[in-house]
Amino acid sequence: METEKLLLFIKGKLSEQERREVLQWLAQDESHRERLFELEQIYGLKQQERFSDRERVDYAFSRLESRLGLLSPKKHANKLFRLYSGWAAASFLAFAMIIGSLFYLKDDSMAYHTLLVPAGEHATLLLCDGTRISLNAGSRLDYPSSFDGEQRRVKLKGEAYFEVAKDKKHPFVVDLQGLDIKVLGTKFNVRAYKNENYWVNLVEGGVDVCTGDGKNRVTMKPDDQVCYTTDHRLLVKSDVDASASLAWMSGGLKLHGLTLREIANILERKYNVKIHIGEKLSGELFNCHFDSTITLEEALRLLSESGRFKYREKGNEIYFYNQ
Amino acid sequence: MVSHIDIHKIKRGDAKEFRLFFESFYPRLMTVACRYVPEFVAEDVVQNVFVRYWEQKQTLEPDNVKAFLFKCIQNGCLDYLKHRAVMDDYEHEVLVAEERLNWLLAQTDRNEIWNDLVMKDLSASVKRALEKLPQRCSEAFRLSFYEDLTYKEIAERMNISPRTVEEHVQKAIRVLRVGLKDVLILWLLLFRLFRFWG
Repeated sequence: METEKLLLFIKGKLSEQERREVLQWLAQDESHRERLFELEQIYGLKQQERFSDRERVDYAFSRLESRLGLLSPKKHANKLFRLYSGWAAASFLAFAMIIGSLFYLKDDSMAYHTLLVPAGEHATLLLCDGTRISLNAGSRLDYPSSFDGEQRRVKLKGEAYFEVAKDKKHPFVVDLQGLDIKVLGTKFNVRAYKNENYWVNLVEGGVDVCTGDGKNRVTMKPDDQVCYTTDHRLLVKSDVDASASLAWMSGGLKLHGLTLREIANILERKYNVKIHIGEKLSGELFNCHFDSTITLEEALRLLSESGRFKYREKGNEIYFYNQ
Repeated sequence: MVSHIDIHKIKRGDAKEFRLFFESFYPRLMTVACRYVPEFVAEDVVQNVFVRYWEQKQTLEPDNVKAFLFKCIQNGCLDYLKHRAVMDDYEHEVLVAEERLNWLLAQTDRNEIWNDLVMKDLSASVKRALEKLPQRCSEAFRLSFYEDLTYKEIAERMNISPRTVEEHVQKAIRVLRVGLKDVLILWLLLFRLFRFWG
């Protein structure tokens, strides 16, 4: 058996027919299998390096943590930051200062902090330049301990509202991976969760939104809304009330023209549940307007009262289904 | 890199120690799981392994942790393979999967030197081993293993015959086998840390 074929087998790149042939060959003799395992090990060296990536390990651990319920504040007092649970608490804790646990990003001498906000939680952070950031559930922010370079640069995955302190000499850049937002001093909301469209709503001032490859650029005015789709298109809409995009900060939800799947994603993060939706339903569009005291049960009831679907709960899992 | 982990602390429910444990084992368990199942499945399997470990931490002695993790990974992956719709060659697949586990365990058990090893920087070791090879040889190896090129593509790019590519790759594997012996074992050594335990 050629090494190349075994390598393609390991990488999962053989046709079904070829894969079967290799499996048969492997079953024939122990020495064949040992040859495969050895190649797998050498191949695995590189792979393991990828799995050791700080960001990846952090993300995997935060998933595990929320699954195991390890995130009670008591246990994490040693982490130097506190996550404030409860949406009501968030409104008067808006000015709480949070210091993230210290991590060093690879290939970068600058010290970066990482703040992970699990599902059902909420956090507010004051950076050393005076910029204030409120983070919604299921978000991650990487920020340096001090801004030394020409740019003030942070990385976001998830949803956050920014009030950027003015400093014309040092532009503030939010890196969303694939999209950069450049500002001098202004207020805006960003929603950029993995595998969803990204949304930017500008409240005050002006920002530049620029795709990672630098090919597309949009300058936003207040009440402009930019959508960066999962298939990499950059769309702009004017006169969208930006305050609606901030409803999450007080615990409410103002959602216009979102699909049921998008709404479910938001509820999943807010209430730390899992929602399953039938394929036909997930693309249905909804508008909804919930105030800050809304419970999960009320939200589900109101949505289903539209008469377009029914739901049933089973532990932490919720199923939406057709009538 | 973490130098040691105290399993007894985890037994007492120390979340901080558990985090260190996770950081050190996650990449290795992912790498092993990916040998059996696609990456997105591996992610779930590995999560489940850690959940089960956390749930059963009280009943596990330090010496049993390695075997426990391996067994969980294997069972999780085999469950997935079993649930895959129709699989004509299921028996072969399972045979290879089971033998892989035995081989991994034998590799680590046979080796006594782990006691004296400290963690080495894996990628640096690979780089050093590759530097010992003739440049064209390590290039062919790198392109075939890590750049996902076929022999034919490599042959065209390097202006040599596919046969020569195979020769280069074979040679690289031989050299790596010797040069990385310790590291390869270490890679498997889910128990680099075990000497601190118990």
